[in-house]
Amino acid sequence: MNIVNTAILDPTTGWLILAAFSALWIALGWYFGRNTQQLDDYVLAGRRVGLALGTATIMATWVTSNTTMAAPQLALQMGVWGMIGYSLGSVGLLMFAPLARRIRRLMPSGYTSGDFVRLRYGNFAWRVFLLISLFYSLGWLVSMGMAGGILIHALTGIPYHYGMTVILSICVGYTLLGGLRAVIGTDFIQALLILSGAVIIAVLAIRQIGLDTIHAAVLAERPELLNLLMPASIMFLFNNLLFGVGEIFHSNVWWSRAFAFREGVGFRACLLAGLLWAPIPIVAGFIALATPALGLNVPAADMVGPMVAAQILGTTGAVLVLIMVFAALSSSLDSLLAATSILVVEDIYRRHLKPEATAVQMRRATARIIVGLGILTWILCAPRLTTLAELLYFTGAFVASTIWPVAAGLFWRRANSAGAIAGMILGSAAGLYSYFAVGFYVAALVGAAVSMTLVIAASFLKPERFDFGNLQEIHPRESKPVSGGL
Amino acid sequence: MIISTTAFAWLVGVALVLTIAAPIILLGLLIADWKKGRLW
Amino acid sequence: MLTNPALAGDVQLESDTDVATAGYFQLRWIADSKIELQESRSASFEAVRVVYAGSDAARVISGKPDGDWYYRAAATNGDFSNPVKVTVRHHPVERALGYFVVGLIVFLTTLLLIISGARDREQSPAGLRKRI
Repeated sequence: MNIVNTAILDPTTGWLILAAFSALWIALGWYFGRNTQQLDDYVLAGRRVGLALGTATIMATWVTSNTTMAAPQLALQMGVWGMIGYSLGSVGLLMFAPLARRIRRLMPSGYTSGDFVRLRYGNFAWRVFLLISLFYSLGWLVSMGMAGGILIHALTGIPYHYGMTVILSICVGYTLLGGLRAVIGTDFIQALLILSGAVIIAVLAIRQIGLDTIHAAVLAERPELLNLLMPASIMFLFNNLLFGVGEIFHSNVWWSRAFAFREGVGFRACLLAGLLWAPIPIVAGFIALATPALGLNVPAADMVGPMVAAQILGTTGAVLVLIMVFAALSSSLDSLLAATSILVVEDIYRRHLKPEATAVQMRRATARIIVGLGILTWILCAPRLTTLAELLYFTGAFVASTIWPVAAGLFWRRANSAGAIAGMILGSAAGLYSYFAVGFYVAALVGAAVSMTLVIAASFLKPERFDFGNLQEIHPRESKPVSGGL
Repeated sequence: MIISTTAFAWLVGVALVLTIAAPIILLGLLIADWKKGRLW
Repeated sequence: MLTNPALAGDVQLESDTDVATAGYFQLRWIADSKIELQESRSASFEAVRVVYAGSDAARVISGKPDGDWYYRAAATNGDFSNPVKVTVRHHPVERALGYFVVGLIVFLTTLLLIISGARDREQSPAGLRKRI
């Protein structure tokens, strides 16, 4: 839908910036990816990542284009609590800190969240979980791809399909080259770009317009956005919190980091990353509230962020936003590609198709699947079906239903498979129903609540006595097995 | 219940200060890790 | 409403929803020229406020309080589009607080599970108990 008739940057400038950063990420991807022939180096960065890189990668990955584009959108639609509610997405990171520590401790040779669910709850629960996980991963990938196309179009006029293709190809490229090390290495730089961009845009906006003027103009034109009792926004608060918790608790994006970090790093990295991430939706979101003060028309809610930045700051602002959101997109896309590919390789390729797969074969398969995921994402992005926030929130019911199966599975011996399965299936169903019956801003909450009730009930009706030692597994063989033992 | 101008300013201001501190913290940690050889 | 046959120069206006439960909706229009988007509290458009004037093809309206809101788009030649009515009906505050409380309970229970589980040595596998 090309309803923007006035892009601030010209396509040539857009292409130049894209080309420059693309070259940078690919070069870094190649550089960081030297010596990643071993499976554990390629998919888990050698399992020794330190606190600085660990914190930065978590923070940067959780800053998606959604943080920079959906946060303003939510501020425009849901007002102040929309913005603050988005910040509550940091709670997922904070709460994951003890989980990251426990995962590393219980499964030092683990690869995926799927490994955990399989060992903890058995095959049926595992497959339900995989369905949810892959559905969510694909949804997230598609929302990133779409965001790239939309953003580039809004800022430079470059057609949606070109921008979307460029972003997907570049991320596939450097993730392919360097695996998780490339991902984590580039994430650090991308984190700095994201933070700097957000600060510069916000500071310049405040200096140019003033917070008081913004407040007064919103009050005159869109008063309910400042209402702290706006019902939909209140409903949104815990929904967003639980959605974030669900995303983080189940997704292999975060589990792969738990496995990749040096022991002792995971807990602090998650806490610090959560704290550093929390203010970003507010810094990025509040500029959407400047639209009345600017007299700016917003044709579609998902464009408001870049449009306002470009309006306030002109060419410089548009360039900043382009760089910043490109960084946010790349830092999430690369993580997603890496983590989803290892999930597919470990849980589908190895566990379903080729149980005797060696580490070498798995590494090769991972590379192929990264490319395959890129292509699949491209195909799904091409028709451009819905606005960003709604696409992502559609997955909310599903992921929130995994919170209790995962958390109780890790911390509660009495949690059993029946509870986990019922929680995931019925939680998702209930959440999905409420998505359509009430609104996108309650789906995750309902899914989580129903799931929690079922897990708790099942655990008291038929308590399990799980031995957490059963979560330890051996590595895949480095080469073809010889008859006999390892 | 409309958020007051002051509260709004505080909300954005505090968020901004934290976001300014963030890259400094990250770089500090990076240097510390590097010196100890515990980067990755 | 649409009694005029479609002619070149006709302006068409539509909203993405008839009832807005969160105070926001998107208006879209098709017109040959720049338009002026007018808003009124009455179906007869007695007192009119110009909300937007320009050449974009859509506008996001948000932050509206409860009530019926009427819109029409005016082309530069004076033609008006079909009128569009959007009813803003926010969720009742009690319902919102109900969801808030449920969310709070789920959040706190989950937190409790994690904190107590992380502390409880009973939950450690035998081999790791000495280390933790």
